[in-house]
Amino acid sequence: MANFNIDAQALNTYDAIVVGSGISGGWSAKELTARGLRTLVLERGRDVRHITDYPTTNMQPWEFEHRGQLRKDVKDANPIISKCYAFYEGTEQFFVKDAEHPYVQEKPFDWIRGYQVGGKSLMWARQTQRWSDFDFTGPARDGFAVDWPIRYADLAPWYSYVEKFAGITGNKDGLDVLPDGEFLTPHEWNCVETHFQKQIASKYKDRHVIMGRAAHLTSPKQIHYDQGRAQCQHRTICERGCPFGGYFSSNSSTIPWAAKTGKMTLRPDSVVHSIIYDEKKGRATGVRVIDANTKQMTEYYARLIFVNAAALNTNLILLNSISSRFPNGLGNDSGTLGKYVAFHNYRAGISGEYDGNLDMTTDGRRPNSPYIPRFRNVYKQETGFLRGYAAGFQAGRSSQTDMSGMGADLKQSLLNPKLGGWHVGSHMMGETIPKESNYVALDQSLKDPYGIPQLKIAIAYDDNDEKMIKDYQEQMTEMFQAAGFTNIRLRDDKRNPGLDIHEMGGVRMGKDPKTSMLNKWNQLHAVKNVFVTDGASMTSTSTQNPSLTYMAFSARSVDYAVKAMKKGLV
Amino acid sequence: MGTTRPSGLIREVLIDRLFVLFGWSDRRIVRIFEKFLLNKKLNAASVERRNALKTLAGALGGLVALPGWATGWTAESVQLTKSFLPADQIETLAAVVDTIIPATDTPGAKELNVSQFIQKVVADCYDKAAQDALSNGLVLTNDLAQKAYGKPFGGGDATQRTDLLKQMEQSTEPAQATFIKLVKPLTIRGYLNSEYVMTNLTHYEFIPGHYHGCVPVKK
Repeated sequence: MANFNIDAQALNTYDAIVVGSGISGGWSAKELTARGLRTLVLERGRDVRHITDYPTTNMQPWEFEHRGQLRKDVKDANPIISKCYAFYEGTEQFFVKDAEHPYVQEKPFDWIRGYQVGGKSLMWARQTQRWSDFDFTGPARDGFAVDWPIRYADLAPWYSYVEKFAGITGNKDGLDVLPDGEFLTPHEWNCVETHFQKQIASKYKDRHVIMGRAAHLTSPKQIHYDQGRAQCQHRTICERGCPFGGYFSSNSSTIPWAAKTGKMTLRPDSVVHSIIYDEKKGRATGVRVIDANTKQMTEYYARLIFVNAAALNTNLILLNSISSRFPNGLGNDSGTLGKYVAFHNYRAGISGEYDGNLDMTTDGRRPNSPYIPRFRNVYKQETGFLRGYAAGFQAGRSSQTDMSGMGADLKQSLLNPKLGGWHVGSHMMGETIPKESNYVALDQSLKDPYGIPQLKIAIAYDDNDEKMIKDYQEQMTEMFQAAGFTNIRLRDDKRNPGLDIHEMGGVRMGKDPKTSMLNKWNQLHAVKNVFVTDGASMTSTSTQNPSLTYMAFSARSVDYAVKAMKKGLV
Repeated sequence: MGTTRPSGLIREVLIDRLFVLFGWSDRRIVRIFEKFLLNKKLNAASVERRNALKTLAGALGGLVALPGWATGWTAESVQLTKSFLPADQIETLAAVVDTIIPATDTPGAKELNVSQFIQKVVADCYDKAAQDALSNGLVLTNDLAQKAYGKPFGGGDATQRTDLLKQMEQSTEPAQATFIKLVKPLTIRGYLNSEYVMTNLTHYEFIPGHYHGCVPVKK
C-alpha cells in the first residue's frame, strides 16, 4: 500500500498548478509551459475547445427558435444571469445558471460567471486599455488605499509582451492618462464620432475622444497565424465564440499554445476546494480538487501554484484554505483577505440625437467603439469626489420602419425602411473606492453543491459613487450640448454592483505585509510559492477595463516565479 | 448558388482555416473544393453540406477537423411538435398573419411559417396572460368576422380580413386592441427575421468583413 500511495503522489505531482483557465489562467499556463514547467491547469467547468465547442457560432438569426429571445423558464430560473447583456439564446451555454453555484447576497450583488475552459474570456467585451501611473499612484496620492507596490514602468514591457501575442487594435494617441501600446490597425470612426472628437478637442484641452483599444485582429501578424487565428470578420457575435479566432480568448490563443508545448495537462470539471499548506516545509504543496462529476476529492501537488480562479472565487479558495498556521485563510496574516473589494460603476448613461451629416452613413459592423479616458481629478483633486470615470461613446444610424398599416401597404413599408437620423450614446465606467466594509467572506452554514462554504458578498455603492454619477451626467450633458446633440436623455439604471463584471480586490497587492496580501510580484507575502494574478490582486480599480492588466501581471509574475524557483527562492 | 462549391459561409470559414493552416491562396482552395466536390450538388439541404464537408475533410487527410456546428444543421429550426392552441385557432392565426403581411410578388407571412414562430415564442417566452390573450384574441377575431361578413375570419376576402384587423387595431375595446398589439409586432418580427426575407429581400450580411465609418447614403 505504501508504494501505491507514493506512486499516486508522483502521478499527481507537477512543476506548477494553475487554478482557472480564464483570461489570466490561460496566460499563466502559457508562460509556465513556455519555460518548460510541467503544468496542471485546473478548470472547474467543462472543456470548451476552440471552434468545435461553439455550437451557435455560425447560426443565422432565423436559425434560433426564438430569434435570440430567452425562454421564460430560463429567465424565471435565472433572475441574476438574465440581467447580463451578453446572455441570450445564442450564449446560454457559456454562463453559470443561478442555481448551479449559489452564493449569499448580504447586499445585492449580481455575480456573473462563466465556468468552462476559457472562463469569461469567451464572452468578454474585449476592451483592452492600459492603466497609467495616474492609476498606480492614485491610492497613495488620494490616501484611499495602500500604495501599489509597482508603477507603470514595471508593467509597461509586460503590457507590450501580452499585446503583441493577443493582438490589440488601437491608435497611438500619445496620452499620458492612457498609455499607447503595441497596436494593430485601428478601427474606423464614423462621421458623427469624428465630429464629436473635434468639438471636444476644440472646447476642452484635457478631454479626449479616442478609438477604443480592443483585442481584435484587424491586421493579423505571423504570431497570430501561428496560433491558428485569422482576421476579425466584423460579425459582432463574439460572445458565441469565434471560429476565426478574430478576438483573443484563452480558447483560441493561450490554452492551445500551452498545449502545443506538450507540458500542459488540462483537467476540466475540477473544482478546487483549497490549497494545501505544509507547516514543516513552510509552503504550499498542492491543491485539493473535487471532481465535479464524481464529487470525489483528489490532491495534486506542485512547486508553484498560480491562483487565477477569477476575483471572487480566488478569494473563496484562499479563505477556505485553513491550517493551524493560517486559521483565517491562506496567507492572511494581515486580516485583509476578502476585504477592500471594489468594482466599476456603470450605472449612468446618456443618449441623444444629431441632425448633421445626414448625407453620410456607415457600412458593415464594428466590434469596438470610441472611448473617453478619465479627465476628472487626473493631475490634482478638483471635485467633491475622489477619482474619476472613463466613458464609452458611440454614434450610429439605423433604419426606421413604418409599422402602421395592415396588409400589402404594411409589407411595402417593411421592405422599404427609411434611414433614420444619427443617434449618439455613452456610458460611464467609474472607479470605486476599495473599502474594508466592501468584503466577501465564507458563510458559516450554507454550502455549495460540492460541500464548499458559500461565498457571502457584501458590496455596495457609496456617496462617492453617487456624486460621480451626478458629475458624469452633468459633464456629458455639457459635452453633448457642445457638440450640437439634441434630445439628450440621462439614465441611471441603479444596477447592482457585479453586473459590471469588473469585481476586483480582496487579495490586494501592497508593500507592507501588515496591510496587504501580495507583494510586488503578486506573490503571497507569507507563502512564497503561491501567486495570485487575477482581479483579486488589484489594490485599486482605475477606470479602465482590467483584463489586459491581469494578462500583463500573469506574464510578469510567472517570469519572476520561475526565475526565483530556479534560484531556490520559492 | 454554385453547385460545386460550398455555399458562402462554409466556404469562407474553410478558406480562412486553410489559409491560416497552410497559407494556401483562395484560388487554390477553391480548386481543391472543385476537385473533390465535383459531383456534389451543394444546396441548402444540410445533409449534403455535411457530407461535402466530410468529403473535404477526408480528402485533406483529416487535417481539417469537422467543427461541431457542421453537424448541427437542420432544415427548419423552428420545430413545433405541439401547440398550446387548438387546431381551429392555429388555422385562424395563419390567416391573421397572412392578412397582416400577405403574399404579393414575394411570399407572405403564412408561407414563411410566421404563425409557427408566433406559437413557439409565445408558448416559450411569454407568460400565461399573453398566451391567453393570443388564444382569446383568435376566438374574438372569428366572432367579429362572423358578425362582419358571416364567415370565419379566414373565409373572408383580403379586403374584408384587412378591414377587420384595421378596425380591431383602432378599437377602444381593450381585448381587440390588445390582441393586435400582441400579434402584429410578432408577425413583423417573424417575417423580417425569416430566412427568406433576410436572404433575398433585406440582404443580411452575416460576415460583413469590414466597417466603413463614412460612406455616402445611397440615393
